[in-house]
Amino acid sequence: MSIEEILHEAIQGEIESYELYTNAIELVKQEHVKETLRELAQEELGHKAALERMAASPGSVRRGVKRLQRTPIQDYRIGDHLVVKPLGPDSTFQDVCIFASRKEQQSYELYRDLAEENEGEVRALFEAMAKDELRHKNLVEGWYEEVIYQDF
Amino acid sequence: MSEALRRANVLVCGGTGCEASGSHDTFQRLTEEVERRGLTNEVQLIHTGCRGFCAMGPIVIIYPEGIFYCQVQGEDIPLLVEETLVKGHIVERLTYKEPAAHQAVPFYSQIPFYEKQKRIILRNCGMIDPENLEEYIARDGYQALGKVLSTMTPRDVYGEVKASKLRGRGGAGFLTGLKWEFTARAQAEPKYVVCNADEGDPGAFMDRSVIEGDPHSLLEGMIICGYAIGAREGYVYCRAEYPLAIKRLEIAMAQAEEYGLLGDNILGTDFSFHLHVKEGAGAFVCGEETALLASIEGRRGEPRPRPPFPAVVGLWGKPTNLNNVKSYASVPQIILNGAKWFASIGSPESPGTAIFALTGKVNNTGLVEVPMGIMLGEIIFDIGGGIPNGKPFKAVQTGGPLGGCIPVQHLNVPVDFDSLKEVGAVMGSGGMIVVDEDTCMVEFAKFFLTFATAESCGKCVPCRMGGKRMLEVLTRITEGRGRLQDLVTLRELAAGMEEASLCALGQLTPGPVKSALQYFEDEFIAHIVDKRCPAGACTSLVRARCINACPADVDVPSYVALVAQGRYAEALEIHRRTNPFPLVCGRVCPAFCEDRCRRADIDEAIAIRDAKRFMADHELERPWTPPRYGEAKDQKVAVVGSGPAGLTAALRLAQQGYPVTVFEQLPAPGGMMAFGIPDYRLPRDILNADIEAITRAGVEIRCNQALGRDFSLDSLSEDGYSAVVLAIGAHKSSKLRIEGEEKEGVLPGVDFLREVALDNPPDLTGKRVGVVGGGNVAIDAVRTAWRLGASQVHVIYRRLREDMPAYEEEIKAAEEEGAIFHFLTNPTRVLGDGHVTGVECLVHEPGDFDRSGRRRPVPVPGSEFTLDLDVLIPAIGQSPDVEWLAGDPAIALQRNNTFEVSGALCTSREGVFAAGDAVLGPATVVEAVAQGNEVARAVDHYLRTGTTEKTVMMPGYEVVEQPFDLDEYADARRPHRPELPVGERRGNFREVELGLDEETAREECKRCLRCDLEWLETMQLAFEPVPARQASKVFSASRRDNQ
Repeated sequence: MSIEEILHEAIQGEIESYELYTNAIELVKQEHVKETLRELAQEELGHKAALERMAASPGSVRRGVKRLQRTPIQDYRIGDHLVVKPLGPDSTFQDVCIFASRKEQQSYELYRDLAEENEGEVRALFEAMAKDELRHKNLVEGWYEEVIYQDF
Repeated sequence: MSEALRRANVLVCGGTGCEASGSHDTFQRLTEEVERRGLTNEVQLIHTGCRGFCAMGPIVIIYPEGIFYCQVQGEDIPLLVEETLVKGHIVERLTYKEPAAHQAVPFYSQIPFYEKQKRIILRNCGMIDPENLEEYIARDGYQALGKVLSTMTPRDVYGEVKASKLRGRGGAGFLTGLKWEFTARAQAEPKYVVCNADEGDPGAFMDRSVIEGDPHSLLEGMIICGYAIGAREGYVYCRAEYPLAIKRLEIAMAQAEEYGLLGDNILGTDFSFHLHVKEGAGAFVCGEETALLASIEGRRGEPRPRPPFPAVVGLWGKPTNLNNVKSYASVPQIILNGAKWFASIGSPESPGTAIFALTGKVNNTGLVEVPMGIMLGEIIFDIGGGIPNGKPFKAVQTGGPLGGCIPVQHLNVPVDFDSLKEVGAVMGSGGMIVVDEDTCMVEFAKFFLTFATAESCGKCVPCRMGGKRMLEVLTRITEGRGRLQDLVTLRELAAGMEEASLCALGQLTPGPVKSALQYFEDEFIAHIVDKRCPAGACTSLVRARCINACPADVDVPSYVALVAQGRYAEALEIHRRTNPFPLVCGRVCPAFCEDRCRRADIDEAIAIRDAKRFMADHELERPWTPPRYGEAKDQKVAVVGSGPAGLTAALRLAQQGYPVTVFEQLPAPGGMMAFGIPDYRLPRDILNADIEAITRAGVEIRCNQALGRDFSLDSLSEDGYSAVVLAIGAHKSSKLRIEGEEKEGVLPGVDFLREVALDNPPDLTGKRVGVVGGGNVAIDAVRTAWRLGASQVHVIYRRLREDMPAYEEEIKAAEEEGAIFHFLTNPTRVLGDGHVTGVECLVHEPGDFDRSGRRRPVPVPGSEFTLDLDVLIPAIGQSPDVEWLAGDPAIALQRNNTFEVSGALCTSREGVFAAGDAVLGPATVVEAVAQGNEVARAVDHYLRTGTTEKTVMMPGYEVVEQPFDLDEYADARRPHRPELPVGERRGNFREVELGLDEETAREECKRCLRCDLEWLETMQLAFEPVPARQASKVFSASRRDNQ
């Protein structure tokens, strides 16, 4: 797989995620849950834009990968043991966070595994993309900690 | 060079911090004692430069063992010599004690303060006698100079420094090697090497310590620079306030000259270099390079526009290389170990180390040298040992008075030039001032601005006038005379100064104000709108810190003073003006007032809660009927929920003359006070006594009335209620959402406590109970389960003990009652076939910092273990139960299902207000009471005017005389609170805390320092009581406050 193909696939993935969250906005009843989904959808758009910038110039890929390589990031695995429920009209903030955390975890693991199967620039790109998904997972889990784990 | 080897080397720190703590005397006594004991030939005494750990001075280190003694005074010397130097024993009393466990750490290599440090620039500080060149030479001193003069061309030298990526340690971070190259390539002659040792930041002493502790490293760096750029002469510009540094520098220069390391034909080569010391007169602006050069030339220290830069037109118009002390002192190590070695330390774009003067509200103050890129939180918590008295970290100011503050949410920021800039601060030359919750960020910014403004040289208008105007605005805000427009003005002035000032002083002066506004705008707004200084620091707004800290504005010093005089009924009346729950709060209040009590600065805080409990208990037999303040009115108000917020709101509205009905879904009133806090902390009859007083004001309480089941918001409207206050609390336990949570034996924390309060407790006799969580509900559940006969009670908490939100005294009590704590543990699965048999857990370790300033737990792979249990009680958090809304978006909610409200506590539905835990999330009784007062004012305003506006209550005050001499209580100590012995608590719910007796309570109240009276004097106000008054409209806030 070439760098261009990887980026193209990843951009498609971000578009699908954006659409998933956007569709869920229509589904849920509570405004604050809609707002959370809007934020998640915006995150996906931001991620998509970053990938598109990388696709536009090879220098940008190197810079983007280098930047992410420098950024230390840790998997706190807060959502990993939580039970996911499908999103529906009565979904709560907690439901949405768990759902999003699992989704980001899957993307993270996919890119991490692909990185292990590849070498050189492609490996570095997958590693960087995995890190970005992990960053996204951490964002959602940070919300979860602040709101749900008040006493934990 | 020919000193005989001794059995022991004793290093006594002679840095300025240790000198101030008496190290001169320590060294003198040590010298005398060693002579007296005839140990002169066996023990070598060395008076060194700064060891860095100034908080623990005077420091004595004994080699070869590396025994570390701290706070060693002259009188400790005979014991130290006898035990350690003669007998070889460690004197535990003089060792460093690890603050958390208070365990002795006898060896230097084990002291946490030094563990994460990497000492390159400070490598010799505290290790050698700075007045002895031979000691410097013994530690590879002047080897780099020898290497340069014998094997390297000037171009090689600046090339090596350039390759190391050393960036200027004065603060700007320009590449040092590049600067050297520019100067080397400049055509004019002669050239000069200048060192900026004009360290002017308040609290900064990095350069001073390097010069005082290792002056030759600076000299060597400057001589190497002279060789590299082709200079024959150099100047050290050092402020005259550093006499010891100047003295040691001059000694070092004389010694270097004597040894042929400085002066003509250095080391027998053609290269000659002469150094001079120029004493600066202390003008801060002379830290700016062009002003500094002007000062050396004997002109007024004023900056000039750049370019041309000093590398081209510098001292006396000639090419000049100007660097900071630390930059020069880094060079010999770079030359010796190579650029590659240096570049491998720290972060890629900011290699090497940085020295910080760590000061302020941090346990381990001192000088620290760390690799660039270290996390800010590591410096403050791992090296600095955290915040004294366990208070929360608030912010750290880096870069001195021209820097910026970094708040708790950025504790993970890597400390290097670029990362600090990204969060709005600067590296500066290395000042790091830590502040806690007692520091007002408006006042803090004003402090730095006052300094920078006073130090403006006045040459350019933006700096001269901009700073003054900003200072006027900040002064106005801290005195409670600010306007919201002031925030815009401050930002505009800041932008103007940054854009148009001539030099870095003017350009960076707005930095502290800008960053304070960026991260603490709420504090500015609190000063302006609420006329309140949240930190309790601004004199004009803070009558006494205890009152300021109380969410309900209770006039603490007045009632405490009255209790001291035995005037309990009057004391209670003052308390009830703003808090109608003295009996309850005398037992369960976390006492924010005590956390800020000024007496604690001397010994211990006044036992305010105990005094409150005593006065309330004393008056139990005289039931209180609340006074009526307003005419009877027709408009009915419904309050949903009878917790502290609901009942306080109901009382205040009834006192204003409104007919008020409280609807309570449970069989008795009190909310979480009745069904959350167990009887052993708050007996029901005590709670009921406070509630009965509220009913005597005419408040009707209807129990067993549930919103959504027995009535609705629409039906209340149909029944003629003109306003509704939703004070439904936060009674819904958050679910763990792990596999198996539906099993029998899983009891949500709040539900468990409620069932016990309803006299329907589960049978826990002989059962193994696990409680998940670290808040007050969790600890209440733990202690309740133990009283119900559980054989084991486990607490499962995923963070550290110090991170638990529960009250410390409750955690201690749970420990005394035998609870088994599993910290850094997270349950991942409930085990069992239908019924709980255990829980699978995963062990964690502390990771980086989260937005709350606590370390985030990180799972340890493969650490799963099973805890056998019969009952699992999740108590990880609570939220309001909003099932009755059935997803109806008419009332907007926030993420944790609390109501979204305006500044006037109005929900998104007209006429419906909210208060208490339903707005705040789980909070304390006194915070709920405060919101009850506030929502009552908002409802009253709404019913009178039809609009919702945030209004501010300016609390009044009493002036209670002081009939006894405070000096008589100077040595009095806070009394011990009597408690039911642990052995008598099992199997019952008898109250654990027992009140003070009358004499003890009165005597304790006499320890109060009466800050309120001092404030009247300071503010030059009459010693007369002032009634509370509602401030007129503070800012426009009609329907939903126009937000």
